[in-house]
Amino acid sequence: MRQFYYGLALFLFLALPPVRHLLESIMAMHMHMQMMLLLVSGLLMAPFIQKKFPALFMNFNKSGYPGLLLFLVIILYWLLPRTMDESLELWTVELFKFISLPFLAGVPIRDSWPKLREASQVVFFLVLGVIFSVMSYLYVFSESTLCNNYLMTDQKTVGYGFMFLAISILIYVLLILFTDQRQYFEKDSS
Amino acid sequence: MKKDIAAGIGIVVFGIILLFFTTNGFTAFTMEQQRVQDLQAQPPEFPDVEVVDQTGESYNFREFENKHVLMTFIYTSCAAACPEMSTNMKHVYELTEGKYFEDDLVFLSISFDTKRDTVEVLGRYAEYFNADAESWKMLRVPDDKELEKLLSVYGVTVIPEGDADYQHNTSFYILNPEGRLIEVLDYKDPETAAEILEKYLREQEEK
Repeated sequence: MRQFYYGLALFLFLALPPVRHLLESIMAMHMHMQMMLLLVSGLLMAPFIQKKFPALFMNFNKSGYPGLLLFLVIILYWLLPRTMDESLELWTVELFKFISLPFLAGVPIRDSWPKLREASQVVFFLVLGVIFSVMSYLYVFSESTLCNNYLMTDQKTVGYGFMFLAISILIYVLLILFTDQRQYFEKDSS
Repeated sequence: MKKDIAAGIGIVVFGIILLFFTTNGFTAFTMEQQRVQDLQAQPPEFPDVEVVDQTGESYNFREFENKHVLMTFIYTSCAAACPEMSTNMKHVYELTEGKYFEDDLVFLSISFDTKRDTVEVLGRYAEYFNADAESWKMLRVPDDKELEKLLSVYGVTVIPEGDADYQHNTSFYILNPEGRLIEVLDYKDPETAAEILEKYLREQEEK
């Protein structure tokens, strides 16, 4: 329950007009902070929603893959350069951002995660790493601005942000593949 | 498990529909691409705007009707894309046969930095590129509201960058004699731009 309130507080904080304007004024903050934090607010609110609608998750996300798929669709949508421009210009898209990232990406991925086998989790990380690498390449090396509302330098910053994310994911995958993780989970199983 | 598969298929369909409508049928992944598509679809119009060229003579933008127009938007103190764009525009100018400039074609470089780009500044800038005021006009729009109108008709976004610079759309725009925007071309490829321009001019001649 506590987590839910933290998540809700974060969500409402991000929705405050001055916070929104500040975060959206810089492209890197828009993409790598506002959108990320919206996702995090969804992650925090997930347990409460899972308890409220157990049947929904039991029936339609038994294997965990539908939730994963929904997460990827929403992420892919927000990676399109034009959706970021549109969220600044159309209030409907802005509203969709505040609904889709927490509730259609954050909540389902938290519900799906424990249901997935380790191999699927690793594949998921690799897919995410590849997507972010492609985005990084696109934003760093693009010769024209992809978002009309932001400057060229902003765009490059976002590209390096993606590069950082992709490298972090790669390091994490190597870590879980080549180190013994059991010790961290022993308490749970006993 | 069956419901999972159904949910999975539902999500994929939802995803495809979502992406299809956002990207205008997988054709416009950036706002810029969408902008160009929208501009080409909009009804032709020469906006009613007063402009002044590098010699100080003023015109109505409507007077360019019945000619093909190759147009760029610039500011003369620009150090990044504009000089390259103007140099390439000169290249297109040289590649195009002179006879077309008599009645069928005019080149316009329109400044959106009205404050600094006075008639004298534009005159000096025109000299660098050997732009005579007849076939290649460097224009300023004295009235701020009218400038805004002109920029919005052609969907040009200008964002101030730092204290003295702007970031703006850099392309060659070609208008046909009715005022319809027929091409938005890469300014880095003057050869192709000249070829396409020539194609339209020849078609016009045959009519």
